[in-house]
Amino acid sequence: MKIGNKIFLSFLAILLVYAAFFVAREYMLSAIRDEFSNILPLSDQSLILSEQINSINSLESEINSYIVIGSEGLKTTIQDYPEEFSLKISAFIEDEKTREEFGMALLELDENISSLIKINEQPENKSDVNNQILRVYESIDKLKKLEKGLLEHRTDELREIIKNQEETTSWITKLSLFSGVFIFIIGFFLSYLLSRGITKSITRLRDAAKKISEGKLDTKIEIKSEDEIGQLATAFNEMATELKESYSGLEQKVFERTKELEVAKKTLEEKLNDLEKMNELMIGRELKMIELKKAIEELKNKGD
Amino acid sequence: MTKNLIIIIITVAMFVLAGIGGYYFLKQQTNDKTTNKNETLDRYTGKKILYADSYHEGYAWSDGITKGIRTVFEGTGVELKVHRMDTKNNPSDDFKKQAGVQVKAVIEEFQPDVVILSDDNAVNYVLVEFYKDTSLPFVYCGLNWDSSLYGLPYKNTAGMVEVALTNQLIEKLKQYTQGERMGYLSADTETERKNLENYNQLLQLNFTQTAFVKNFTEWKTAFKKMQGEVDILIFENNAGIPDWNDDEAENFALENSKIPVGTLNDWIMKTVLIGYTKVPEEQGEYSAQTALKILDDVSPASLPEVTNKKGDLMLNLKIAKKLNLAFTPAMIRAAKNIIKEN
Repeated sequence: MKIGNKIFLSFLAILLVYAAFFVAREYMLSAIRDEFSNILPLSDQSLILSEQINSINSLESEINSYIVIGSEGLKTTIQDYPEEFSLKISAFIEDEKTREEFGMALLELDENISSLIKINEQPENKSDVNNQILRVYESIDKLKKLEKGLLEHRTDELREIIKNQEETTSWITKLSLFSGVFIFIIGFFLSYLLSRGITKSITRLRDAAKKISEGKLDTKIEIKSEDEIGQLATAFNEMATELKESYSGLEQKVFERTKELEVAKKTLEEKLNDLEKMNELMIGRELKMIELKKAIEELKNKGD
Repeated sequence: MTKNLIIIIITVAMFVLAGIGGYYFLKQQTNDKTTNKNETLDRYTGKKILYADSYHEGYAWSDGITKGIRTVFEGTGVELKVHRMDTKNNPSDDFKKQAGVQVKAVIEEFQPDVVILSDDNAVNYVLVEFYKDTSLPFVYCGLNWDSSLYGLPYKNTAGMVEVALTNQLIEKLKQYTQGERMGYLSADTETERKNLENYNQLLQLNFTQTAFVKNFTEWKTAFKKMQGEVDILIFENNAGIPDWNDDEAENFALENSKIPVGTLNDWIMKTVLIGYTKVPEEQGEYSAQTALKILDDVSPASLPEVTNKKGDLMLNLKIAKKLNLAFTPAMIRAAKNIIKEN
């Protein structure tokens, strides 16, 4: 496989790991998004319930004011309260039993408020108001308890969602950190393997070239990979073989030439020896001639 | 090659360290949200507080104080030890002295950082007897009317004096009468006579009529007589009337009530219109909060002596009907106990 392909596959492996983590993270985020969609209605309902609890507290003070002041406006306000309350609350009470309980409590409050107004307007005994106010407060307390129960239920649900989201967010954070580390390790490992494979082959090529430069033409490189390095090694081996063959032919020729030269040299030496001998002979004759000439001269002188 | 390897190792190490650091930083941030509260709450871990009660467990006043103390200490890390002196059941001086010695032994063994004492016997037989101006801080509560009788406060004390909420009760009763004449009715006991003395001297209350009765018949006579002679009546206590009959007293009060009658004791509530009782939890909560301040190195001597302020309101609608009287809605709402009409 080509080096470029190896790099591409490594990159692809890292990308796949990242994609796996990304999918997991998105899955977790989708869970958060789903839960977020539940938060809004719950918080709206909680808000309405809180407003209603405040409204009940206002009703209490309006009842107090009505008893003390007795205005028609206050009378209408406290008379209309149960109906307004019913319209706002009943919209999101899903449980049939709770709805029934609310209905009963509202009816009771409505009746008690009506009785209170009646007693307050035409009291047979002033003290009768005490008992009726007490009954109204008991109805209000009952209603408040039901509302607080609903509010607590909504609050618990919201708390549960927030808790789940905190846990999921924590997992996402952990996953992000883990995926970062994991991808880094994988990337590091793959790049290490890749670079190690390349540098190792190149080192072997370098060593082989060095040996060849030292004349060890039998050197062969064992690289079985099919990448560019492997191809280079094969080419290198072929080059070494050819170099060796070429070197071997050259040696033969040199040997032959040397032999021929040696023969020529021997012949030349022999001829030179002969020449020297002749030369010596010639010189000897020359010397003898000189001696003879000298002897002839002496003889001649003697003869004079 | 070696140089490159070193660089790689350093890079990896830095990355791993940064990863681990980041993880623990995020984890710590999450934990901080929950642990901050606990750190605040558990700051008194290892601190010891002894609560020595003059009376016994099951006695409503003592139980209320204990409840108040425990409520404040809950989750603070304070180690609380409760010791009961049981002097209500054993009123002799010898027993009280012995009970005081026992508390001293408990203090020496338990080695508390602060001691809380409730009611006069604990103060008299422990604090006054053994720990006046010592280094061990004390918080007292439930001490009746006047702490100066014991020479308090000391350098090592802070406390709450227990006073009857008579003024507040009278203010509530006054809403339902036009006149100013006040009457006082009670069993003829030393305690009640002392109470009346304190009302006069410390609360500057002037009762135009007073009656201390020795039996039930005397009570009925005095009760009926005062209905026409005063505008407000305080019925202090029936404890000390040997032939007292609850049902008969209730019926008698219902038949003969013409003016607003009030009491400071809940057990005679059926015979009166309004009751206003002390809240023992207030004493306990004050003591515990003061003890925590002392643990925060506040000197007890720097804390002023206080009196109780809180009261539980009780209304009797039967008597109200008899008097043809309408309570204000706010008063009905504020009432802790209401005796309803049949």
